[in-house]
Amino acid sequence: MDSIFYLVRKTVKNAVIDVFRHPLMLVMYGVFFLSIISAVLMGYANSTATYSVEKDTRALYGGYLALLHFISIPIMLKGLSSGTSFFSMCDVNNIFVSPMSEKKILIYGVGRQLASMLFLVVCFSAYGGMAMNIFRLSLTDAVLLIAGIFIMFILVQMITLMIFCLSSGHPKRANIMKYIIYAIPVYPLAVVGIYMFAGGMTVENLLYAVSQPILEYSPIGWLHGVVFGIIDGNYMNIVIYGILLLISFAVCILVFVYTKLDYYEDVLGQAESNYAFKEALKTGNFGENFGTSSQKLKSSNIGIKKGSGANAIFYKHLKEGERRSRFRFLNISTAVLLGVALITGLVINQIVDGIYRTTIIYLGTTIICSYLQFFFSAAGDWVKELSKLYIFLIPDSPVKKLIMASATSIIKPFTDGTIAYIVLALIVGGQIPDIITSILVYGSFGCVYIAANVLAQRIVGMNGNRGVFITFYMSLIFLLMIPGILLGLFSLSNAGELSIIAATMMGLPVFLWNMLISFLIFLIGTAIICRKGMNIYGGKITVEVVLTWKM
Amino acid sequence: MENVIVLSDICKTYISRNNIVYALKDVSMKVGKGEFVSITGKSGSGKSTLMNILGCLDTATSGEYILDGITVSRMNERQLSFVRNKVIGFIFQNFNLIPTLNAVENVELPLIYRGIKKSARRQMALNALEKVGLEKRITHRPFELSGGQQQRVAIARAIASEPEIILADEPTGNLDANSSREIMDILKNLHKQGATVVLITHDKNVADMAQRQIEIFDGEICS
Repeated sequence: MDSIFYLVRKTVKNAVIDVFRHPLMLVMYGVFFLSIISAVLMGYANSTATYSVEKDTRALYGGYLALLHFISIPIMLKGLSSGTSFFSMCDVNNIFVSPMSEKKILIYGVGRQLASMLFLVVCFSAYGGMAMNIFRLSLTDAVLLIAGIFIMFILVQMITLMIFCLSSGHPKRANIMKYIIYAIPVYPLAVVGIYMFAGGMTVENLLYAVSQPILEYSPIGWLHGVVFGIIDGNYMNIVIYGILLLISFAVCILVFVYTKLDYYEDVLGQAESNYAFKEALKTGNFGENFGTSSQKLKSSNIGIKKGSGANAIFYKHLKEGERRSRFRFLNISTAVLLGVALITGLVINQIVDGIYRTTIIYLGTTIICSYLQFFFSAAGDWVKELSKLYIFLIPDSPVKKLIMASATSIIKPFTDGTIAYIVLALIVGGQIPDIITSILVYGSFGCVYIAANVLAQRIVGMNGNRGVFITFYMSLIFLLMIPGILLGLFSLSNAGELSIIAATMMGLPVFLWNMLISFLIFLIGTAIICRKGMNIYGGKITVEVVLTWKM
Repeated sequence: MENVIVLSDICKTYISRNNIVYALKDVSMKVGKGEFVSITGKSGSGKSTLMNILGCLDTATSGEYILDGITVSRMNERQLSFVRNKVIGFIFQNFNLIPTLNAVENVELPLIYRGIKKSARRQMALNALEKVGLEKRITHRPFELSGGQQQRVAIARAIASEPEIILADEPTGNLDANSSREIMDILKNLHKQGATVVLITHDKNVADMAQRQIEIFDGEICS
C-alpha cells in the first residue's frame, strides 16, 4: 500500500503545483468555490429568516429520492461492462505489474472513482444552499443531505464492485443483474403512479405520494430513510435503515473478498482492447479485429452518398447516428426532457390560475428544462473529428467546418424541444408564440453549451486537467448565459400588454442572444480546426488566434 | 550459456462462442542470459500473448515456463507478482506513464513496490534517468515530454531496479524514426552492459538489431 499512498500524495502535490503555475486556473477555482460558498451562505441566511408560511418538505423528500436514483443507476450499469471503469491504461500497466494483491488494486480503483466524484459533491453543496433557502432547512440538515449523497456514491461504488465481481465472465448473470438494475427505479415510479391514479392527478396528491414511507422500502430508499430519519428525528428509521445499509455494505465486501477474479484476463485485456481501439480511431490503423459493431450492413446502406466539402461531415454524422439507433435524434434524454416538461407543466398548471396560466407554464418549464439540459448535453460529435485528419484537410471555410461538425449536436436539442413542447401543448394548451419560443430557447441553450465546449477546448485543450476543463466550461456557460437572461428580463419588465405572452417576451431576446453568442464563439473557435497540433497540448488565446480568425 | 527463459510446449487457449481459439500452440523457446532476442510476427500472430506469458502477466493453459531457474507456471498470483517486480523490467508500446507524476516519480514508483528506502530509490531513479539521457527533465510531467522522451522515461522505469530481463513490447511502435533509433541505441547499450533483452516487434528493421530473431506465426514458432 506504500506505493498507493505515494501515488496519491504525489498526484495531489502535482495538482496543487499545476494550479499555482497557471494563475487563470487559480482564479477559476477561486470563483467556482466562492460561488458555491456564497450559495450555501445565502441559503443559510435566508433559512434563518422568519416566515409566516410553514415549510413543506414533501417536495424535498421526493426530489432527494429521485436524485439518489439518478446518481446510482448509471454507475451500477457501468459496473456491468467491466472493471476498467476504475482504471486508466497507465494504472493498469503500472499497478498490475506490482506485487500487490488484486483486492488492494481494486480498492485503489474504487478510491480513485470516489475522489473524482468529490467534485460533484462540492457542486451539490450549492444545492444544499438552495434547499436551505427553499425549505428553510438548518445548516445541519443541508450538510446531512450532502453527506447522504456522498455516502450514496460510496455505497454505489461498492455495489458496482460487487456487480463486477459476480458478473465478470458470466454473461447470464450480467444479464440478470442488468434487468434488476433497470427494475430498481420502477418500484418508486409504480408507487407514485398508483397513488396518483387512485387519488387524482393533482399537485397535492403528487406531494403526498412522493413523501410516503413505503418509498423507503427499496435499497436506495434505505439511505433516504436514514438521512430524513436524522433530519426529522425519527430514531426507528435511523436504526432500521441504518442496519439494512450496514448489512448491504458487509455483503458487498464479503462478495468482493471471496470472489476469485481472473483479473488480468478480464481487466487488463479489456483495458488494452479499449485503448487500442481508441488509438486505432486516432490513427485510422484498423486491423481486421476492429469493428464498431457486429451489425451487418445492407449494401444499399453503405456509403455516405451526400454532401461535399464541410457538409460531408454532417452527413457522415447522420449516417453514424442511424447505425447507432434507428431514431437518430431520439434517445433517453428526449424521454427525460419530455417527462420533466410534462411534470413541471402539470404542476404549474395546478398552482397557477388566470389569463397568464399558460404563459407561466411555458416560462417555468423552459427555465427548468434548459437548466437540466446541461446535465444531458455531451460534447457532441464534433470533438471526435479533432482526433482524425479529415476535418483539417477539407478545403472549406473553418467556420463552416466547425458548424457542420457540430450540426447534429445543435439539431438534437431543437428536436427534443419540439417533441416535448408539442406534447405539453396538447395537454395544457398554450399560445403559439409561447410554444415556438420555448422550443427555440431550449434549442438555443444547446447551442450555448456546444459553443462553450468549443471555447473551453480551444483554451484548455484536450490534454489539460479534466477538473480544470469542467470548471472552466461551467464558468463559461454561466458567463455566456447571463447577458441573454438579463435582456430577457428587461424585455419582460417592459412588456406591458404583451405580458400575456410573457414566455415569448422573455424568451425571444434569450434565443437571439444565445444564437448570436454561439455563432461568435464558433468564429473565434475556428482556430481549433486550423491546425491539428493546436488542441493537443492545450491552447492559449494569443494574437495568433486573432490572426487565424477567418470568415 | 545459461538459459534465463525456457518455454516448453506452452499453449494458450481462449473459448470464444463455443469455439476454442489457440493463441499459442506448443511454443518452445530458450533465451540465454545476456542475449538480445527479438520476437516478430504479424498482427494477431500471438506475439503479445507470448509477451504476456513471458512477463508473467498471464498464465499458459498448458506447458512449462522456467524463468531464471524458477518454474513460474506453477506459481500463484502473489508469487508471480513478486517475480514480475524483481526479475522483469517492462517497456510498453504506449509508455504508460502516470500523467499526474513527473519523470522521476514515475521511475521511483516501481522501486517502492520493492520496499527500497526513500533516499536509495531517489538515487536509483536519478541514475536510471541519467542512463537514458534525461537528467535535465526529471521534474517534467509526461505531457511536457516528447514521445521519444516519454519512452526513455519508461525505459528508465524498467531498468531502475536492475532487473534480470527487460521485456519490451513494441517500444518504438509510437515513435518517429529518429526517436526509434535513440530507443534502440539505449536498448543495445543495456544489452552491452549485460542485460537480457527480449523485444517484441512487427518492424523488421527493429528486429534486425537484435542478436537473434524468433518468428511467430499463427501462435507457432516458425524460426
